[in-house]
Amino acid sequence: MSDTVLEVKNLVTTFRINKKEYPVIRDISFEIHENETLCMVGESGCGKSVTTLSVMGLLPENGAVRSGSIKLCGEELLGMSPRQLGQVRGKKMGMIFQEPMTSLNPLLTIGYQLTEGLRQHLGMSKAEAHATAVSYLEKVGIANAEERMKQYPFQLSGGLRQRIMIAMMMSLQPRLLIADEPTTALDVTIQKQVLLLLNRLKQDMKTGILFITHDLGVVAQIADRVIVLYSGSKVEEGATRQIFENPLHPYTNGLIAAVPNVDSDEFEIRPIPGTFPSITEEIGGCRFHPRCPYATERCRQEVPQALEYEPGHFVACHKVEEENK
Amino acid sequence: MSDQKQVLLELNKLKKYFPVRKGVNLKAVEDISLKIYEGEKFGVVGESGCGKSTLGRVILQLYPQTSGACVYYGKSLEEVSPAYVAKEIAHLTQYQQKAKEFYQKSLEIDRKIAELNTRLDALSAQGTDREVKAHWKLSKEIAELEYRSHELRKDASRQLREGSRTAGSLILCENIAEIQQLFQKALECSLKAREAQEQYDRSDARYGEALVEGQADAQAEKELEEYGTQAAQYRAEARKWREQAFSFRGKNIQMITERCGDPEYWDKLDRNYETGINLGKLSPSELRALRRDMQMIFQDPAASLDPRQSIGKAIEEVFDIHTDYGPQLKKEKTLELLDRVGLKAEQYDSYPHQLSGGQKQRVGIARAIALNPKFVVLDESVSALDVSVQAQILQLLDELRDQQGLTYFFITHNLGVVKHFCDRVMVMYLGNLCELSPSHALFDKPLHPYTRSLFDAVPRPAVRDGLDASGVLEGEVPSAVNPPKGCPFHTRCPHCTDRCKTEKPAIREVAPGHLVACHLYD
Amino acid sequence: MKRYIAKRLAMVVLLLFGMSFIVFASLYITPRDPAQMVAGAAATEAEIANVRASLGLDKPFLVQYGIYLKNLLTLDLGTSYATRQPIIDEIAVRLPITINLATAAILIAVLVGIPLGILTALKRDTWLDNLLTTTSLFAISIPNFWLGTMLMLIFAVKLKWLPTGGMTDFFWTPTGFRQAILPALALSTSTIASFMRIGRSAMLDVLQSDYIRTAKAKGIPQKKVVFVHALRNAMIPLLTQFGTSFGGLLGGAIITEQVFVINGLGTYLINAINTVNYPVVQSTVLVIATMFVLINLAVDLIYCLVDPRVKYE
Repeated sequence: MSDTVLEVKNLVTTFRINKKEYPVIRDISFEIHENETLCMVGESGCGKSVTTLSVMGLLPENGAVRSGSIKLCGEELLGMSPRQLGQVRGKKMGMIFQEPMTSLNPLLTIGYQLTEGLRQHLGMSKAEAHATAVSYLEKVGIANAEERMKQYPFQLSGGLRQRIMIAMMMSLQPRLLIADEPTTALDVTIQKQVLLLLNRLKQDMKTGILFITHDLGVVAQIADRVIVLYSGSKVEEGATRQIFENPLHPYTNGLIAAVPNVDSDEFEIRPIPGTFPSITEEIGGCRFHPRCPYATERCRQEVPQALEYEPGHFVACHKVEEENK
Repeated sequence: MSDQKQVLLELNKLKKYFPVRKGVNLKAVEDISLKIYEGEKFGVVGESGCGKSTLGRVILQLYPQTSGACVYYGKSLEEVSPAYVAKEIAHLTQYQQKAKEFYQKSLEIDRKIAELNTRLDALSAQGTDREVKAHWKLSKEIAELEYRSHELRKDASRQLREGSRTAGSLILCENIAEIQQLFQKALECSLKAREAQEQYDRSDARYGEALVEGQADAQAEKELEEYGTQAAQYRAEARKWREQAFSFRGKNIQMITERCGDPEYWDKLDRNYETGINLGKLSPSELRALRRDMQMIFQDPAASLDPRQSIGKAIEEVFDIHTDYGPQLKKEKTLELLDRVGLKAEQYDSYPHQLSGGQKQRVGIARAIALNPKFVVLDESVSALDVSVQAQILQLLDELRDQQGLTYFFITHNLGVVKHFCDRVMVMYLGNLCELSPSHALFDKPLHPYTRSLFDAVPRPAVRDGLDASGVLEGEVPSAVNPPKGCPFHTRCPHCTDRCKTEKPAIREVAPGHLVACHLYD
Repeated sequence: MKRYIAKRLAMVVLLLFGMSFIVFASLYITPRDPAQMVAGAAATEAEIANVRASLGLDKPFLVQYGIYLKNLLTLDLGTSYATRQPIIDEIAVRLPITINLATAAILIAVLVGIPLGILTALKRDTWLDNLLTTTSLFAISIPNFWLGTMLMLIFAVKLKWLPTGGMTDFFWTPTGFRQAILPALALSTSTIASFMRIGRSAMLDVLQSDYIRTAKAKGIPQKKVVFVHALRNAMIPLLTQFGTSFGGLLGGAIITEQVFVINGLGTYLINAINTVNYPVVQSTVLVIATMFVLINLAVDLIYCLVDPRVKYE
């Protein structure tokens, strides 16, 4: 069993809206090991981005982690002072974001932004940092690396910028890389390049990756394990093969059915009825029950627990529980 | 699937260049020619920078085209009677005249070239310095003259081509003046028909209003019948004049250029004949009137709605601009629309920020279909939505198409959506057409290398053993300001040959309805 | 970049032309007859006519304008009605004094206003932020002649720490410093406030951007995030404000100079207005306006250095 890089237990995060606290992450737990990619899937508002921000300690002012534990390589992150967290960030865990166009400082050269972290965290000298940065640019497949060091972000395309972000974060050799929809804004052919790159780096550097996306196709390509999130709760978790070949939760099934599949000839667009609940909406019992075709009285009252149906395959659903008694 | 293959819109060598600096253009759309049929869902795929959004906007004339034509068949020329028709008819003799002039000039230059060539033969390329210099100078002069002659010939053809839009191969006839008069008479009748039609429409509106208020307007009813017959009569007359003009086809052909004797050339000119409305030539007010027929739904539902306007008012605005419906009629129609797109009547007074992304997009759709358009351009309309909402909106779009007989121009980068939503698909790269075919055929057997790469790159929601590293397309999309010579895709194509680097592939029909632009299929 | 600079220079030249025209034409809107002013109240018709001819006031408008322009280009700003001395000399004496005062004021504004702006942005919505923002509201509203008088009353008259007025040396000398500090403070308060507000909003804006999030995710310590990553980007709107403010200070110095009896351009201008000394008014206004334009040109050129996007345009 390889090392556990990230261990999240019973995480609860709330947001303050109009002076009331609303839970956005409702008690989720998961683990990521080295050389493993865990994909968190769900739609907008399900809490996947908030999870990453909770782990990184970058929640906005009106958000806060209320309870639970987040352990990075055994070290508890909650309760650390901002300065301590600052030392962990970058060095032990890196993060790449969705918008490559705005995620780099427009007034600083690429070279500066790449070497900054190296000098800060790894104590390298200017020359050492420069050399390391160039080698990482080459590792992520950027030609003319020396030239690029002197350029500014606005001179580069989205795909290139995203690769530079990856180089920037990976050069610090973190144990965990969090990727929040890094390829959503990229063209499909560039997306493929970036996904392959991430996979290769993960294997070479034995990093654990927490990959957030709403694209099930990307999940199938890159994930080792998958968590399906709905409105702040984990509804299904399993190995990629288990999720795609044997999806158990009605929401997972709905999601897979709603994706127009490029390969299949038989396809009827089957949407999930109803709309996604907002953060402030009060729903009793299972949060999915208003949209679920199998909802029973028990679903309206009781929040389902995540139970293991196959080794490593967890589902939180009353119907599945009933069927497997 | 519609069995009738009525063409709704035809694009004829459409080009759109954006000037960046003097002499430098961003070539957004290059020579796109295609036909869009009524009732079909036509998809356009490509990545960023391929020009698909620009194409959508040029079709709707939100940007004027640099060259080429966009011809609309949803309304007849009679119905709209645009001003340019009269101008073009008046120009017919001029087109012929100018073509003759250009061609004659080019013949003169050819004669001069022949003279100079004999002088050149007399000089030798070797010999004294002075001789060599003279030889070189003469060669240069000849080359320049050849270029000018060539350009003049092209100008002559262009004049004939422009004229053929209005008269087909008749532009070659000697009796062009007579033909011109016949067309003018036809035009007059069309104008009269249009007047009658306008009266008809006004009476119709009055009748409709009265009906809403529960009364019946007898006078309006009578007028409707009267104007209806009048319009039909004038139309028949116009048709008669035109038929008379076309009886001249093939007779008294003038040899304006050397091709004029070739019946294939006449066919080509005839194909240019526009029976529809050339959108690029319309005046702004005429275009506005046509906007009822052609609408657009944008990508970002939030950005296209005024945050300070309730959605009810936003939809009513459409009626304010294009009709003179009274307030009651407007409200009724708006509520009807809200229902049709799946929103509740109570949401009439809601503001955009109170709605979800999917709901906002529904408002956008309501606005677009409010006036029963024929043609809707959807520019990445579902790309910003979650997968399940996306599916709902696509279902709605399908229903609306069945109910109202709409034709969709669906721009997207999502191949999965295109496969299951669109009937025919066009793949674009750097403003060029790569492949066009019925959608299932495209996915069964993608022919163009770019289509194949796109297809390979789409991640499937199905597990494979390990990440599939095959078919990864290296490199980035080249700049549209300086596109590669020859085939635009050759810099990234795994099958690139020397020919691909210099010669741009022509578009060929490889299977029925399946077009490809690639040397592999020449 | 060269095109950028060339365009800016061309615009400045056009602006200067425009200003000179307006300043010149304004003479024609005035109700008084300049010839009479020069000749004096007791002059006869003939004498006035003589004066008019000698001043060239009888020539057509455009010809006069042409002569005016020619004079400007040779730095001949005319003769003062009051003293009959060349105006250029009188301005040359007073200009450095006003620039001294304005520079001192802008320095205070930059050194106090910008850090306060950063501070309030970082400590947003705390008591400190609220206190400073409210104070800045007062600062903008206080008329600087009142503030100047109060400061003078307290520090010069009551406590006798500082002189009550006059300006003979530059502010970086000991005497010059003591002379400049009160008027510069009075002059600069509203500028401090505007720098603080703009600095605050620019900082807040920048701190929310994605690239700051990236820097934090990299584990860059907060101080570096603020001063290396954020401040650089926030500087751009501040730079714009700098240009506008400096120009404003040159004009605002007028009132402060009156209060502190400083013999700068402002006093010169006010006296000229009061004595209807047209050429002085025209020329001083033109000089102040020219300085404003040149400062903003300098700001535009600095953009080139600071923002690489402009450099590579």
